[in-house]
This record gives sequence, C-alpha cells and structure tokens, in this order.
Amino acid sequence: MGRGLIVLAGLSAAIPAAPPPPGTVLVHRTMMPDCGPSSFAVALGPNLGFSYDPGRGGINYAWQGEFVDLAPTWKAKINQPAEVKGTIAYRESVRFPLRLTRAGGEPKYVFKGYVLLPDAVEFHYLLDGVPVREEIRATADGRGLVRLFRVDTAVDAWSYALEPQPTAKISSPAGAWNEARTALTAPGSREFSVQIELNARQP
Amino acid sequence: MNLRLTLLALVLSGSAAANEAYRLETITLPAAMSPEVSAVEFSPTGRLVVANRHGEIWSCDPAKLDWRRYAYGLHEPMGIFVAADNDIYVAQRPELTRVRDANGDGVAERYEAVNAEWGITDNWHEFLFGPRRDREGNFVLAIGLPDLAGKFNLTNPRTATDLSKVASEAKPSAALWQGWVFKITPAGKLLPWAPGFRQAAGVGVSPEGEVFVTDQQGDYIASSPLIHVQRGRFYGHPASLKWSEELGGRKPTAEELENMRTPPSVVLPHGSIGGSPGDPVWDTTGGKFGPFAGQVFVGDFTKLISRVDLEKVAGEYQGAVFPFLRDATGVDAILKNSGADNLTIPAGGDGKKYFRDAPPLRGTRLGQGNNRLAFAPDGSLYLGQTTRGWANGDGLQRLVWTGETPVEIRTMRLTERGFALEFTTTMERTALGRRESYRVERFRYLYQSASGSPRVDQGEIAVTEVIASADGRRSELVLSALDPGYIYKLETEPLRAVDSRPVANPLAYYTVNRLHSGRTFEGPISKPLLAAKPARARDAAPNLEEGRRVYLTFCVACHQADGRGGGIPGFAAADFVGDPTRLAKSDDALLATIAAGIDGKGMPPFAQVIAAEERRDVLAFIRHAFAPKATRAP
Repeated sequence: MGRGLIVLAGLSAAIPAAPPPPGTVLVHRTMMPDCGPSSFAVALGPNLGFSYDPGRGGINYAWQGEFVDLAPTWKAKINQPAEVKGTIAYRESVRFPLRLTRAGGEPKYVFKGYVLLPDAVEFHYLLDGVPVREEIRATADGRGLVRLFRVDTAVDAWSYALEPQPTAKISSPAGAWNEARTALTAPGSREFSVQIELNARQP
Repeated sequence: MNLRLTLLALVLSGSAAANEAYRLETITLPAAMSPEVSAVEFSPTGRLVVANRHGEIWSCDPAKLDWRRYAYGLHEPMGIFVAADNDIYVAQRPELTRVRDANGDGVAERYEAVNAEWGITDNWHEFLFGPRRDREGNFVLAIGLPDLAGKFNLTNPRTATDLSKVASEAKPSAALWQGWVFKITPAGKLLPWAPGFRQAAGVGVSPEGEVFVTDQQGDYIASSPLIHVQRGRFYGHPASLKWSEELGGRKPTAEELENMRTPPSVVLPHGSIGGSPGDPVWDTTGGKFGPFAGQVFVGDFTKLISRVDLEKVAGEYQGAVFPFLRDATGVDAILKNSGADNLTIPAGGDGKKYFRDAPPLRGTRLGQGNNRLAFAPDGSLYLGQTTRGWANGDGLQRLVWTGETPVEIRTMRLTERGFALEFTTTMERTALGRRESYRVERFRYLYQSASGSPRVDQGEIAVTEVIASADGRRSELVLSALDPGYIYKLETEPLRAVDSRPVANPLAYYTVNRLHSGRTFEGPISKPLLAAKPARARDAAPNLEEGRRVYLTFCVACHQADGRGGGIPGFAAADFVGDPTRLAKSDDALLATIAAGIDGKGMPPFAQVIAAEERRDVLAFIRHAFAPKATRAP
C-alpha cells in the first residue's frame, strides 16, 4: 500500500475518500481521466461530482456517486489520474462551449481562477477579454448541476454548445435551443443559466 | 569489533564532542495534515506557513503550533510566497496562484490565477518551483523537464507542445518554456529569463536581488550545481532551447552547446555533497544562526544540509561548498545497507567508505527530503521535507543555534596562488601553519549527454606553503597548481581549535571557473585529460592495480567500495557481490556495457572517458575483487 493510501485512511480533508456533506463543496486541482492537464475535481454534496477543464473551458463530465480517489496521483514516479468513484452521466467535448456572440469562431479563453462558495464554486475566466463568472451548484434535489454565467456588461447573445446526451437533460430558462446551440432571445442580459439533469433524457 | 563498527564508533564519538553549536528539533504537525512538506515560509507577522504535496496550506504561530488549514485542493504546490497572513502566492503545477482570504475567516476562498503562460502535460516530472520575489516585485519561477518514463497528456493543451528533442537529451521540453527560469511581472506578464535547466528544484533570490537556482544531476548536468542565473544565458541542458527565439528551431551541435554554456557558480559534487538539492536560502539573520551571516544554505533530498560561501571573481560568482549538517544515527543505516538509504562520501584512498564530515548536531535525527528551507524571525532554520514517495522522511524540522561557536571553515576564498581560509574560531596555531594539515585534490566533470559524469583529470595538488595568521583565525594555502575549470577539494584534518575541538566539517569543494586574472578554462570540458601512459601490448594481461585505480576514480560512487552498488538513490547500480548474474556475463558483454553505458539506468558510457585497455583493467579488477570464484575470468 502506498503512502498516499495510508494518509488517506484518516484524512477526509486532505485526500477526499469520502464525499462532502450535503450543502458543501470540495474542489481539487489534479490529474483527471480523459481531461486536459491539471483539471478540477469538484464535489457538490455527497452524491454529485464533475470535472472542470481549464484547458478546454468547460465541464468535461459530471457523475453521480462518490467523489474521486486521489491516491493514484500521489504515488512517486507515475502520473496516473484520479479515479472517479461514480457513474458519468454527462459529457462535453467542444472547446470553449460558452460564447458571448452569435458569430462563429473560437473565442480566446483565459482561465483566471475560482472562488469557493459555501455550497458552490465560481470559476472565473476571460472570453475575448470579457470577464465571465460561472457559478456551478447542485440542483435543489442534488441530482444535477445549475450553471449560472454572469458578466458585468450586457452582451449581445449568449450561446452554449449542446451535445447529444443519452443520459442527461439540458435546459435553459432563458432561451430556446437553436440547432446545436442555445441562444438568448432577449439580448442585453448579464446572466445566462443552464441546468443539467443527470440520468434523464432530453425531450 | 570489525572495521565498519570501529569506523562508526569513531564517527559517532568524534561527532558527539565535535559540535554542540546546533540543536535539531522536529516540529509536530497536526494529525490531519499530510506531512509531505513542499514549502515553508514565514509571513510578515511571523506566522509559520507550510504547504504540502497534497495541495494544502497550513499556518500557525510557531511558538504555539496552533495549526490551522488555510487552503486546500492545489495541484502539488512546491513553493509559496507569503505576502500577508491572508494573501499567499503559490507555485502549483499548472500556474502561479494567489490564494486569498477576503472575508477574514482565516480560510482562503479565492484562488486567482496570476499567470499560466507555460505548457503542461501532467507528466509527473513537470514540477513548478519558486516563487521568489526580486527587488522589482517580479516572481521568479522555474519549471522542470518532463520524464519520458512518464505519460504526456496532450488533451486540450493550453500552449504549443512538442515531444521532439533538440540534442541527445533524455528528457524533452514537451511544452512552452519547460526547462526555463522565468519571471512573472507585477502586472502578471511572463518574462522568459534563461534556458538550460533540467529540474531547477531550488529557486532563490539573494539579498542583492540576484537570481540563483539549484539544478539536478542527470543528462547534461554532471553534478547538481548552484547557479547564478543571468538573463539570456544558457546553463547546459539543451532541451529548453526548443523555445529559444534566437535559435529559431535550429539544433545546435555538441560543440556549440559547449561554447554557449555558462558553467555553474558552485558545483555540489555528487555523492559528497548530496545528490538532489532544493532551495538555496541566505542567512540574513544578522548572527542569530551563528557565524555564517550572508552565506547560503542548501537543503538536499539526502540527509544533508550544505553551506555555500560565494565570492565574485573577475565579475562572476563562484565559491566553496561545505557539508553543514548530516544525519548522525543514519550512519549506522548507511553502513548496514551499503549506502542504499543515503549518499555516501566516495571511498578514500584505501578503498574503504568513510564519513569524515558526519554529523554536527544534537537533538533529533535529520530527516530526508530537505527541499525547502526558511529562516524564522528568531534565526532558526526550518527544514521542509518531502521525499515524494521515493523514501521515508517527510516532515518539518528546525535547526537552532545554541550560542556555542561551531568550529568550521567559515570562508574559502581564491587568491592569486591558492586559497585563503578563515575559521569561525581561533585555531591551534601549530597545526594551522603546517602543510600536512591540508590535503588538496582537484578534478573536473564532463559536459555530456549521459547522466552525470565521472570525476576526470583527478589528481592531488601539493600545498607548497601555508601562511597562518597571528590570531589563529586564518591561513593561506599556496598550491603547486591553480587553474580554472577544476573543482578543488580541500580536507583539513587534523586541525583543531585552541580548545581542542576538531573542525566539525573538515571538507570543502571550491569551483574555480575563473582566476582573478580573468582566465577561464580553455576546454574543451567534454574531453577527459587522463594522464598519458605508455602503450601496452594489445595482448598484455590486464593490470589489476590500474583497474583498481580506475574503479576508485570512476565506478566507486555508484557501485561502492564493496561492489554492492546502490550508492546513489534512484540509480540501480549493479550489486556485483549480491547478484551473481551481474558478472556471469562474458567479458565482451561487460566491456560493451562499460563502453556504451545503459541508457535510462544511470550507467554512463565510458568509451570516451576510459581507454580500451583501462576498461579491460577495471573489468579484471571488478572480477577479481567482487565476483564469486566460479565466475572469475580464467
């Protein structure tokens, strides 16, 4: 047994073998499977987790179940990723899925950090120089994610890439789906939200 | 009592009387904290702040040890800069991050990316070191090269990636700026500073604001050094040149690399002065840590703290390194396992191991993995320790000066004819002025793509005259030969202070890059200068005595005097005694190995270092000395 596992036995804070209590979050930057380097493992309560990829600019996947085992990342001469302790129900692959304009083209994305909130995490980044705050929290029933995007100055059109999800349902109270994207019908908003319900089907 | 036990007893008894000047204490860490301390600093208010490899930051009042976790979830942080109790900058793998407690509850909630304009691939060997702050407010950092033995994650890269090699390096620079020292300006802009580093695991800024790093022995890095980093210069490892705009993608030849390279300020001879150095820190305590104000202390992965005395000669830094603190009780373990658990001083002239510079301390045992050092406001030296899973010994210790003056060579400075020594106390003057009290050797290392380097062009240098000062505090050594390009080794036994205490660490290595005249080595450094010997007939029998000389010069640091290997952690040097298969191979096979080395195993190629007949000599000696009778050559 490696040293990491020995520490793990008594250290839920240092190496989260156990998921956090309801209404709390855990955020670890680490090596995650099928993600870009130094991605995030985030737990939203005891039964919901997701990985945010600051290289891709979005959530790579989300799962229901326990959190992650970080012990594989602490061994000496290896770079094995953490182990996801749950069933992945949602995946994204489009680079920089959030856009602040109807025009095409990949935006310039710069990761700027995050803020720990009592029951959520808020990622900060620039999209073509515009500061964006993306707050991610669990839905009220704890079975999905609510992503709230905010900017300080109103933008012309929010859009978010939608990819077919066999086991997740995506909705946005602000807009309607348009081909592979959803866009706000009312320009001038400073907020935009997306709800992802895991283990559900898109209507 | 056998020889080993006798040596051990001598070492321990000598050390007990030698030095009561420093006391080593182990700091109790909270049970909930991972003990792999990867950063240690003090805040402007005097709080002790540590980070660990598992991504946490903890702090406490060092007098109360009332530990509190400040932050968590960072990706293998290896350094911190504490701007305030609620404002800490962290060098974690992917970025320089500012971690702030904005709401005043004592726990950080804001993790702000300051800069991340270099490339990463999640390779285990891509450590980010620093941040130290220079006088202009820039943060100084260094990112290491990845390891081909590990995986590369090229998913969603944030910069260009390129796994090609520039020369014959073992480790490529896989993404932008890997292998560079760089600065981050107060405005958050990245300034590439200098290329040529393999794994600059220690970053320091001198009181004068100059940047220094330590690098790690390996390919193109003959022995771990302390380097004064100057903008735009190249420091030896070619992989990072991939990102040099000046070269524009062109691959330099070996000769060009040698001509471009700036030699390190002070070489820390592999084995004798550790094998994997961490942070250099300057004694700015104003005398609270003893008589070494202004000098540099360097922690090492092994159970060693060394001390460096720098001086400027002809406009460039160079100087001497001394062992300062070694583990005491660990000597027993070293003897039992033939050095597998620590680095040993290479064998003496009689082929036996000895530990002449162990162990000047009292208190607890020195741990392993001394990567991070910091002076506390009270003048004690804190030692952050992580072995990153390679060994046991993680934790936090501190070294306290008891007020007693240690007996040490305080400084070793270059003169026109040799070296001037200054001692920390008054020495017994008769021995101080005697030539026999000093033994000087010199040697060079090769600049080569193979991992490390044997010591070459090695020889004893006569001390032709000693001028001792009237006050018994200084002596000047006049040498029979003083040339640039060499590391001069000095041993001072049996010098003693007037109160009969011996010099605690009677060993020093001075790196002579330049003479006061400005003359530098005219090279080439990569070619050995073995003494010319009369040619022997091709069918002449191997010369065992010559083989023994070659073994003690080139082989002993790894394979050890007893042939049992394991001399350098991380290298699987063959155990000729315990593993009979090693010498069961044919002479041709073993000679081919000696000539070509074993790529990836730490065995360097010696074809350009040792002549063919000497390779036959050393093989004959190895078989004669270590092989079971049945496998000895007829």
